[in-house]
Amino acid sequence: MRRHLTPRLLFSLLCVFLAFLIPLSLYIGVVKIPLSSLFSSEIIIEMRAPRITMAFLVGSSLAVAGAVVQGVFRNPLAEPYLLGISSGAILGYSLSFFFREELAIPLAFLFSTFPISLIVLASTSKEKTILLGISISFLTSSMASLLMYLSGERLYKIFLWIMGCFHFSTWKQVLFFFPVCSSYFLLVSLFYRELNSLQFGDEYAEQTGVDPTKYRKVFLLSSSFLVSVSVVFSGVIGFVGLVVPHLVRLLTGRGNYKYLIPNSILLGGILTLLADDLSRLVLAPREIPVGIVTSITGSPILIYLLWRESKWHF
Amino acid sequence: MALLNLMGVSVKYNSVEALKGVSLSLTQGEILGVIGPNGSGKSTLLKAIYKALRFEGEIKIRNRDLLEMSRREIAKHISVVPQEFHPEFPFSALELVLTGRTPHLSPLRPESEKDLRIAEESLEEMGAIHLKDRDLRKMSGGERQKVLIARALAQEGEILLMDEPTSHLDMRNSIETMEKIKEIVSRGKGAVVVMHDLNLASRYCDKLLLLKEGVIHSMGRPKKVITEENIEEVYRVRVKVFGDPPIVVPLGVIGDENQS
Amino acid sequence: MRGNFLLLTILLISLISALALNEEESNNNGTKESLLENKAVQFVKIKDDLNRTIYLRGIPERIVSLAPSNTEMLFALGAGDKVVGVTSYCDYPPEAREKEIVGGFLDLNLEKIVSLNPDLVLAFGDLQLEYVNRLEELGFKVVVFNPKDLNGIYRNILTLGKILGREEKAVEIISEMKGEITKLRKKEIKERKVLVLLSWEPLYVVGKGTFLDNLLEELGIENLAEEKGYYVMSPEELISIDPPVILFLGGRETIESPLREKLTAFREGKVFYLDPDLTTRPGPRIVLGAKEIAKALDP
Repeated sequence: MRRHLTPRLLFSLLCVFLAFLIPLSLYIGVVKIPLSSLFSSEIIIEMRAPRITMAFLVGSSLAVAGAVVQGVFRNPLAEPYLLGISSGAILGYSLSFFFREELAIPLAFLFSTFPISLIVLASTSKEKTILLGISISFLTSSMASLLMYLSGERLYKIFLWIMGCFHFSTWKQVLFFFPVCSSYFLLVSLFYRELNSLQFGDEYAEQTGVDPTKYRKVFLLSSSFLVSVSVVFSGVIGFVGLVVPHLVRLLTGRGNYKYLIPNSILLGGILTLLADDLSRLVLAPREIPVGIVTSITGSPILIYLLWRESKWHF
Repeated sequence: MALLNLMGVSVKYNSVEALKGVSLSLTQGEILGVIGPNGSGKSTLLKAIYKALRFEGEIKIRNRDLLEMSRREIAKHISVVPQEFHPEFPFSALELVLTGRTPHLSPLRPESEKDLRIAEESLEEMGAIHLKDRDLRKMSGGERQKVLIARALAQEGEILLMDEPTSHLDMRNSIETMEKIKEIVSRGKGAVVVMHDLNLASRYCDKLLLLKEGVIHSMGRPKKVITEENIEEVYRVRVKVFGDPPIVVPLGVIGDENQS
Repeated sequence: MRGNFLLLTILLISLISALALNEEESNNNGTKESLLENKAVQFVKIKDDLNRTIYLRGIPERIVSLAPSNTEMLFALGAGDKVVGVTSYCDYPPEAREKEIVGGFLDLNLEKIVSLNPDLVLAFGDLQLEYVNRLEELGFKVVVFNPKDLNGIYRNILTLGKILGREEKAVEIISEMKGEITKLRKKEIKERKVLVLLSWEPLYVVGKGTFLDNLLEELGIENLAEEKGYYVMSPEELISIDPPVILFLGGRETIESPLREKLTAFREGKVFYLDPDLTTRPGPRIVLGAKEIAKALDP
């Protein structure tokens, strides 16, 4: 059995890595900025810096939301878009092209938060939540597909948005998103004990004095709100939410949320940032949408993780 | 004062009456064993006591109505050792025992040295301190069970509810565990233990409650409850009972012609 | 009930957030310049196809074009040397291919555009809005062309002429184009009913109200497509319409399909391949496209 890193060690390593990654990411890009003027170039300040900030923040948000959702549903295959968030967003976005295009982003946001909020508030049991969530997910997904089919030449645009992109990041976005995601991080960090209990099942939670229904609602609502907001800013970025928590668990040998959350924040942010760097680097000057990079690199990682898991469960 | 009091408790699942009119009381230093065939309502009874499902009737903890207590409060007084436990994600034994401290902690009152110490001492008591950093998924059923009991101890509830605590343990460990429970209870706690092993139950429990189809068939000291008549009526098996505390020797199954 | 109240709060927050986000996206007419300064440098006032009034100070010297039709217009007006950035689809005239590439059509590279430091960006259509907004936010001048018909093209050429101070040349080009179109209209074209396809699988049809539809109209040719816009037609529909002539813009390929026997156009050899570069770019070369269409219908 491989030796594990202690969570604190992993955290420190990730911090160091991030410290190197930031200037590197600022440097990468079609436009080569000389190192001497790295921090004064307008392109860097107005375009790349907000971009890598958003990539990091969105990545960490997705990773933590994924970890939370996996614990709440006790399902290693759960991921942040689970209950119809991404398909709802796509539906809203596509819908706007039939009315007013400026409404694309607000509609995407509405359709991604609305259904899931209703579901979470309305259902009392975990099973009901999952069933409703999956049904809504299928429903919105099929409606979105219909709209996409009818959208004609808009299709390419919708497709690009779905695939995820940090291209248009601005400091205004950072200003809005940062408080949202930090409050979420704060929330789940404060209640990590409840998460720890929840992940062993509703009964176990009750036995340790944690109201499973109440906390499930709190965690799901906050997670889906955060994920919806992130979809608005960056489209759908897959795999990060699913794979990063598992990677952290694998590296540290622990699933305790006390350590899982901070490490997921760092690892999720770093990996997404790396993906964004790759998206700019590989086919320059064209950019591969970030979602595609995360899927391509995420799939083999996922396969490896599943293979490892299967070895432990005879 | 009684630690726990049940009066006319009934539980209904989808129009099936899993429990009907159950009344009992538990005092300090007492181990109450709950026995009965599968589906007789044993686990249901435990779940009702820590308010994990809806019930009719009254349940009082130290004279406080269960319905008026928050989940946290209940967890401070009642420690539950579940029968089954399937971890999905990696978690160490010590971390699991620490979750037992959750009812005593809050965002404003995080874990301290004291909590860590209590967790480690609980593991030591159960002879499982060597497992403290081991992943729960990589333990045997018996080892996990010990850790779960340690968690219940760390929770510091004065009422212990256990659902078949020895089901995964071999003979030596079973006896060790029951001895440990006896010792713990003698320090001023009370325990309600669902048992499947009648002999262990008769040896270690102060009182027994025999359930049949959700209703109390008989309750009292082991000698009074474990009789050939009672066992035959409830379990539908022919047995020989002798000794004090009573030992049960199974002889055979009662055939269909005696079914009511 | 507590649940309902919570739901209402969430609804409210979502609505407010949605509106706030909407604000951010559309708040960006960041023209930093004061508009009516009395300076020696002249300013030009134009209206682009998004109906925005844009003021330009002086003649732009560094222009980035975000569509091939724009590029062709720029070169036609003799401003090719001012072009500093084009898309990968801008292949005409050959000099255009030597310019810096800033992306494809919807996958443009903002950083590249910014690094070229243009004083004018010529965008296209209504699909590049996000780029337009972002560039304007960063302080660049963007003019958007989105011609829906021939008159739209003439207008764009004129506007561009005004921007470049080459209005005479613009007028010249336009009258030449109009002349050619008139000539073509007077031709004795026998076949006057066509269907225009962009692809065979699926049957992507050029419908009513599109650019190409208008061109056909100008030439006195009837577009047999019934719906508006670009849409996919079912094979049954195609068979029932059975156009006498099919114009195919999807590139040179022999169309193998069981439909061949059922369609008059195939049987009579009246399926013509047209160069999409000449027929789908709403720029000066559209006349050449029109010529091709006319030639196909009356060889």
